Amino acid sequence: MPSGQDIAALLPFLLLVLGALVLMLSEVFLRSGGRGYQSGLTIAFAAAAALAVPFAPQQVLFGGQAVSDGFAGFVTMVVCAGLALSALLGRGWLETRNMERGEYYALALFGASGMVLLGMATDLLLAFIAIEVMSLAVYSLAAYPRRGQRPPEAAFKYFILGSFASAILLYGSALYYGATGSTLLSAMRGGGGALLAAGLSLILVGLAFKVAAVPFHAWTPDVYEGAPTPATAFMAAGVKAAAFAFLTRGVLAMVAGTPFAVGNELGGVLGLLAVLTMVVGNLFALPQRNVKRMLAYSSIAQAGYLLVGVIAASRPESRAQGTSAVLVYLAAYAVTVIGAFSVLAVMEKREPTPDAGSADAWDVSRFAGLASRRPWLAFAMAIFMLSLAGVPPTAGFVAKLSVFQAAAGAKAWGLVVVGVLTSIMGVYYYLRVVVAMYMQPAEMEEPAAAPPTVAIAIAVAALLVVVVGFSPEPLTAWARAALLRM
Amino acid sequence: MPPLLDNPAAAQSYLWAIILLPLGGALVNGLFGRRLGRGNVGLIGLAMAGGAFLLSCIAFAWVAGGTNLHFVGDWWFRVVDPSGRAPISVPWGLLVDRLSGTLLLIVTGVGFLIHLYSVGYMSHEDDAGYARFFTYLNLFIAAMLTLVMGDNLVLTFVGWEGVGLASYLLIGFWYTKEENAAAGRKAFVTNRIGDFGFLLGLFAIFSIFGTSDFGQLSARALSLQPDWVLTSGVFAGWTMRGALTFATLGLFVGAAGKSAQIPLYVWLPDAMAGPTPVSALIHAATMVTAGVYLVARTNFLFVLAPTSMAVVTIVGACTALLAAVIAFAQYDLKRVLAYSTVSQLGIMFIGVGSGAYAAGVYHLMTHAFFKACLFLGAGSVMHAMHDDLDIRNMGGLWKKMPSTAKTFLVGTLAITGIVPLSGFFSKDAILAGALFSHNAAWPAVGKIAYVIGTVAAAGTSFYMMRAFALAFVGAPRTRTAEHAHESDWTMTLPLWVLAFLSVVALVLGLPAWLVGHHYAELFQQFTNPVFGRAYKVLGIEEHSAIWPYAVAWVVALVPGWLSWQMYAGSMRGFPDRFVAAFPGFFRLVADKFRIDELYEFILLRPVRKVSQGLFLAVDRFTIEGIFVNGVPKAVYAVGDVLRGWQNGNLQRYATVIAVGAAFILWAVLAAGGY
Amino acid sequence: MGASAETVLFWIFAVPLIASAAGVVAARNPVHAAMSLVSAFFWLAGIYVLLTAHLLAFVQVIVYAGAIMVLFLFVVMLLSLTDAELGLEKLSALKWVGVVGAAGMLVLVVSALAQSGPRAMRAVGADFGTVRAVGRILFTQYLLPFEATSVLLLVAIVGAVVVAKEKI
Repeated sequence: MPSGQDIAALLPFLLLVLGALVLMLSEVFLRSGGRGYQSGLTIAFAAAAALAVPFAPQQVLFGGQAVSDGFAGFVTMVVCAGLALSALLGRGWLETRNMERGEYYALALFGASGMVLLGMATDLLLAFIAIEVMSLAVYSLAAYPRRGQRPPEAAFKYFILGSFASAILLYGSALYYGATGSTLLSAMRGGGGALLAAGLSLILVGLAFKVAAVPFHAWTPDVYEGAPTPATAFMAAGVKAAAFAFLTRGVLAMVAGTPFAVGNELGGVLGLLAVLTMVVGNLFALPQRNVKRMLAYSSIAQAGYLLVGVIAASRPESRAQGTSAVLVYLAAYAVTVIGAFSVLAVMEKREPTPDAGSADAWDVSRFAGLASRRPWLAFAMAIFMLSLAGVPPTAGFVAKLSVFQAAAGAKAWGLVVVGVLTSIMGVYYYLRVVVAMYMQPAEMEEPAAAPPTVAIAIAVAALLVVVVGFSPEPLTAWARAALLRM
Repeated sequence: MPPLLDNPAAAQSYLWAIILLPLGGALVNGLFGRRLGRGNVGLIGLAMAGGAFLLSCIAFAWVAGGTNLHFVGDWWFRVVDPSGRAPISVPWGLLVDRLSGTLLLIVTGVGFLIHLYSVGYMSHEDDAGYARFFTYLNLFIAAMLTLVMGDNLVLTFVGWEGVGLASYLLIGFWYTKEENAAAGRKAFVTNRIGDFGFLLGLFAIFSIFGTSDFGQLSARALSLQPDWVLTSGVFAGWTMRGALTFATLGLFVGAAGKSAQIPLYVWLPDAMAGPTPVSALIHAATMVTAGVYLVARTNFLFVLAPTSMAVVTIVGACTALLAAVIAFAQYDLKRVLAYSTVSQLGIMFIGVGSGAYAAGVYHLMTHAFFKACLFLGAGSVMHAMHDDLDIRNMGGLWKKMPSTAKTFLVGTLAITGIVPLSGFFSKDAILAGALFSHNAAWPAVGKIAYVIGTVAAAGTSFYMMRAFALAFVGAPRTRTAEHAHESDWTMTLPLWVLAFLSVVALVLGLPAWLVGHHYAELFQQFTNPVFGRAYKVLGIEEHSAIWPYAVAWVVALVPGWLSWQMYAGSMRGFPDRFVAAFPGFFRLVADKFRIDELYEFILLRPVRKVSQGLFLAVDRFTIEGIFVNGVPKAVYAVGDVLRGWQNGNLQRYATVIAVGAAFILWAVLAAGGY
Repeated sequence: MGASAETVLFWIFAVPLIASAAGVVAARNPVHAAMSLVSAFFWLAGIYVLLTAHLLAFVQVIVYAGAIMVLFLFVVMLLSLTDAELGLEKLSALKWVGVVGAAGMLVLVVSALAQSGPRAMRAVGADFGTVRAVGRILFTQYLLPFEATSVLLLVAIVGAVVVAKEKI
């Protein structure tokens, strides 16, 4: 039976759900006049959930289906930070388009609760439910602006393909249950056989879809482009963090304990996925002139680097190094990508209908000459681009370095070489934005001023990226501490 | 006494300020520059560069007095292994010893002068462009100082990337011209190739030594035997010599990219598209010498890898000759100077490759002075000529622009190595050092490099004198040249200072026996704490032969004199001398103007054919065709093909997922033998 | 009930189940597809009964075949798509690739199942599959997923409303 301790450990999750309920009720009882409190409430609940993390007892919950450990705490923090930043962004973005409603934030909070739960899950059934909570919320967020054709189309694609992937995941879980007689991750310890291997493969496929690994990535650009920008930012930061957290947990469970043949084969497949993801993600990003699409492909490429970290975590000699590298990478990526999307949100073309011929809504030429018009904005964007490219001294560099170091510790030289080469390729398209901002004459009309909340989000993100870049020790130390309590 | 001068601990805690001042200037100018007004922008840029120079002087005073300044910083990042040890940790540490102190003075000193020059030179820009320019210039200084002062290879690499970025931004500064943007891209791509080599070398060094701190590396490198076989890391099973050869060759690929050596030199001539102060500061005096600095800095690694040293030497020698030959055929004043820079960098690499480290760094310094002087002179001419840089359109500028002409002459004499200007001492010291070096892997390499280097020096003398004579001597050949006028004092003052430095830097090259002590050049003695151990490993002794000096003198004088006769002599109405010098040759031609054409037809044509051929073969096809354009093109092509699968079709996506899932299943099951 | 009788019953349920599932995919008229799905739900319920999961079988029939499918049909009929809108089926190369992928997956999973061989069914108690037993498991061992499902349903409702309604 659940004890008070169990409930206390679930507090971050519960607080996020509570926040969602409060926001929905507030829509009913509060007059629509005084808008703006929704994002404030969202941030407050995100902060409360994050604050609850250190107080959550470190323990196994509900008969082993979930665990509240340092790893889960780290993921919760990242998700809450992503939620808060994207709520700040959402406030400005939605307000200027006159579509700020409590439901948007409620859905974001629900999504975050699913992500937090996924970070804690050690059971396939619970993980599936958490993934669905997260995904349904994100599908709806993608379709949130009902105007125009693009958002619903994006959401519909995401929904159909996501359901397909969920079905594969569920089928894999069923095979897993058949092989082990349990849905707990710990049940595969010492197991083996074709059935388990098949089950795990299908589970991997489902998760690979969620993290946007090649060849299960195809939805990403369309969805990222079509979804409202704050939702895209939240998606990129949160879904990736939660899905990778569970993937890492699963891989760790797979290799823990007795030697296990299936682990090696899956490791090989993971390596293949990582290489494909890094290469294809970067290749596709290269010709993109649409910055939003470029960021979508970039998120695919980043998934590749994260997979390298997961592979490192799967080798005993670099287990701790790899796991903490994944955590550091997730945190760095979340902050950077939300910052980048925030700048994009300021720059994007605002039209009565978001889709009317909006192929150029995010064209890189919109950034031309930004440095001389909005030096701060351009500066922040340059920081984010450099961080995504992994140029020191930014958080992205620290993240890439720790992942590659972990892979080197695992003697996965091939992955390191592919990783370094593809990140050099990446510099090319990230710098295109910087070049446009600093080295091209302004073409477009004067960009609109950033709404104050968005400006705050950008400033906070940029500051974090730089601070982590200059002094990564607190973050990496925290990630390592998270492992000790795993 | 102020604590900075009194206490080394206080001085070294101020080291970061040397970098942070220009960085702060870049931030302020970049973010607020448009609102500050150009006067303030220029003032901030100048003040920051000047402040950095003053602090550098203080730091240099310490190292000159024999105290190295080493700021031991906090960890930047660490990689912790499972046992809690940190096998890799990179601190924010700065080191100023006699090598980096010298570079520090050059960078901040020349940097300050060029800031001053830019105040006048960039005055045609609008406010935003003006602020942008000073932002980039300050950013460059900060990055270059990081490169020079970093006490480990990682920090050096940070600076390395920073200067690359700043150079890229500045080459494309006038981005509206397509050509400039292409030049920027070319510089970017070639440097990426070099950076990849640098990274390989860096990782190799991490794997071999577990550190990239110069102090620790030097201590470990000199205490080990080259025949040791490594037992762990990437190079398990390699000998120490082999592993170090790999690492140092990687570093040299990086150095070749940054310092424009074969085959990565092609970006530098194109980089002249940027504003002239940039060419002077980045593409002549400081950034391009970073590769030489890197090899000198890691001398303790290179001396253990003789193969690498031989490669450095021979690449440097070939570059020196190739660039000198190409420079014969150029009419654009800045391009002549650019190829000359490539050639001089090659000579520096001969120095650091053959173990004449002090000479290499000494030449780096003198070259910084006279080449910056020449470039700024070219900029001054460019101003007066309304951006026309074709030396055939000039002539007679000596009278119109006395300051520019005189300083340009000093620079020309210095680079040709005419006694008693500084270029003579530094270039000769390198060539003599190469001649008397003996490389364990390839004993003859020093002598080969000496011969090639001497030929290149002769060529340098010829084409530099030709450029000077065509531009400044004789009668004006165009209306623009007729109406040229001298530049502002902010532009001529740096010229005079640099010209002065080009002359007095010779003091450092004087053999010390003139003053009394034993036989070694002053600068060699000065840098002995840095390079002394490397000399010992290489077994380099002090040489006392005089004849290389005589050869060098002849090599500098004769071609220069010939060139002067051919170009200036005829123009200024000394046909008799010309005919006397080349009776059979000039008898055919009566018209003075056609002397030039005929000369070109008979003498320069073949040379230019060869140089054009080389240019086409090496530059356009190999480098540009394959690396610069080919790689992105191929990548785009692959991207286009793959994008066919990315057209928004839902069923297609689902198909990919299904096939992917089936493949994974198959892979896992098949590999598992089920 | 003997093992052989059970096997016979299994095939009686399984073959039509597969057939109607295939019908869902193959039918061009959405109403036909929905009806095939209803039939598939019924056959599936039969298999649940065979596994002594009686409660599950009833829930399957009442909730899925009853409530959800009625909803499906309403939506389909309200949309009243014409043939022109549905478009003609074309078996392009792409589809064949998809078919190969899906079939490959099937073959591989079946082979994996065959590898692991037949397994004895676990002996279950008399109250297995009853409301009481399922309820007990749901509220003890599976409490957390069960409660999380409530959040899932809420998200689904809110999401559906947000997506469907132009002006909230």
